[in-house]
Amino acid sequence: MPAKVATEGVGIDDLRGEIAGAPTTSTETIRERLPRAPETVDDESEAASTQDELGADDVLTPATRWDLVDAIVEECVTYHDTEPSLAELLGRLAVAPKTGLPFAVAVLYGMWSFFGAVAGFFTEGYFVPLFDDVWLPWIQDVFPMEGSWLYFLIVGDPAATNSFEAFGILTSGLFVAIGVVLPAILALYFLLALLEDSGYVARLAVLLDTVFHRIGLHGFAIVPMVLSFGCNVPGVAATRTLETDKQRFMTMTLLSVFIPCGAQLGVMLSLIPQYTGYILLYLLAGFFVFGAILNRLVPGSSPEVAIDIPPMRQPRLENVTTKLWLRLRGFVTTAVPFVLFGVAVVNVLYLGGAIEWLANVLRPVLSGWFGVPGETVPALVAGFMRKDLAVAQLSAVSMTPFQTIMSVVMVSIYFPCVATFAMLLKEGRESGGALKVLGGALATLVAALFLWGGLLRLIGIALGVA
Amino acid sequence: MRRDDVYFGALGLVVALAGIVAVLRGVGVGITDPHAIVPLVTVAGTFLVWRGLILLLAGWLYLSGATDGLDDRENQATVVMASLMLWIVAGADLLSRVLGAIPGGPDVWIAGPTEVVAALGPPYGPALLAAPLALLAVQYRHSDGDEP
Repeated sequence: MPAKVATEGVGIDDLRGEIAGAPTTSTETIRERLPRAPETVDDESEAASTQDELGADDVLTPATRWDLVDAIVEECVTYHDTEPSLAELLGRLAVAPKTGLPFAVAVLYGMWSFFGAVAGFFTEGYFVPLFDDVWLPWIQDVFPMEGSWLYFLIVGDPAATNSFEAFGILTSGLFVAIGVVLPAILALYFLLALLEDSGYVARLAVLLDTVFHRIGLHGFAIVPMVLSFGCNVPGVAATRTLETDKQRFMTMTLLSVFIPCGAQLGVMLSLIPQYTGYILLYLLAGFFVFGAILNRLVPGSSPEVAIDIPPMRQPRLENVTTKLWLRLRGFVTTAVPFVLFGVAVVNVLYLGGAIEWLANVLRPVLSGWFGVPGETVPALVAGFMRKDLAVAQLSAVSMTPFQTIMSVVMVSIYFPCVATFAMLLKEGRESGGALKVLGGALATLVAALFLWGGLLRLIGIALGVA
Repeated sequence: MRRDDVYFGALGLVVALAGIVAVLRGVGVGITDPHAIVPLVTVAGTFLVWRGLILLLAGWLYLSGATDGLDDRENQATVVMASLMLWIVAGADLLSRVLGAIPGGPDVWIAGPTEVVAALGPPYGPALLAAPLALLAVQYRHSDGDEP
């Protein structure tokens, strides 16, 4: 600690040996230096009665305590000019727009690349062959009652050759939860812990504060936003750190409508890599446009916040691993059951014919307004529960490049997945009421779907590609 | 003018030029991949626009630091920041090569060392080639990092 203080232009004299190097706490050392140990009293009114009992000099009121602190600081601390360290200079450059924004682009690219490489390593390298070649054939073989509704619910399609298309709780559900989402979350949480502990996240928040203020949020909204690129569920949970009900509602809604999750992005990158960047830019633009609109429409306040910027420092491995473990445990216990539940609900809806009915009802609206072929409608409707699979299904439909972009954008914005939906309900209870939050989020997504989706088609028509 | 001003100025120019080529190729402008001329280098792959943009910005930061004078601590830090940007792109490239090579494909859970080492062979992206050249910025980690 004295060494750290010394680099920041503060020296500790005289009492340094006793305070900084004392075997006991500093407070005890200070007390030993005093002529007598006074009683500490927090309440001024209580101080009067205590002073009567012990005598005025034996009582330490809050005011006299601060005087004592000032006296000690004056006696033993000296200030002098020092050359700023490289970490301090980098910290300053990271919040200056001229240098901070280019660096932020590089950091976010690094995050995304790391995320893609690590998630791809586990998912494509190990979980896909494990689930498709070992787990799926085994469970299809040993699970009894093939052809029954229970088999369809648990295992799914008995003829499926990969876990992506089987649709059972213990096939597709387990594969998406463990094989797709978990590696993505592992990579993302690791990076987030690293960046938090290095002091960079606070700087990123300061850098982006001006942008987020335009939509009634503040810079720390970047944390749930970044988390949502891994999975919307922890992103929605992370909105708890925001100040007001209005900010929480806005962030939850915007995340669940405009930010595609890691699983969906992974599928997009593998199926339509050439369009993924454009789709992301369009969705991010929608995030800020609808944020500005919501900021004007939603009642409530968006207070200023004072952000304490920690110094830039090397992250400590034990802190990073502890954070990673706690967050992963939270994710596994909170989100994984929701994903499995989502698959079960989709299967029940399929069994009951609800998905087919919904597809028929919505076909004229979706095809007419957005100009996508009728064959995409079942995938779009199924996307209510499983957006990643919906994108995968869309790739099998014959479409023009623009129709592909259009339908993927629609899958992204038109409904949160069931796990996010359940999380909105859960968090909504603590942010102004579940029905209010869910109703507001649904109204926003309907407006976003028709206006933002419709605008994209208009752009396509104007460019002659729609 | 100090020698490191010239060094990082030149590095900035090269990196910025590589960035411009990557951005142009990324948006579909018909520029030939340098791989056709120099087998060691390639400007191709996914996220080309983003990688090119970062190289362009890093090159600009190098040039900005070098032209303003590297006797100033803040300009030294700007050069270190540009190097960090370069190392992020290079590190991401290297990581995806290594992690992509470790799973050995059908019936092989872990590839042999030969396959993994082979994945690290040329051609390389501009960031990976420029990353070692940016190591000279490490000299600015202490405030007494005077002219080399």
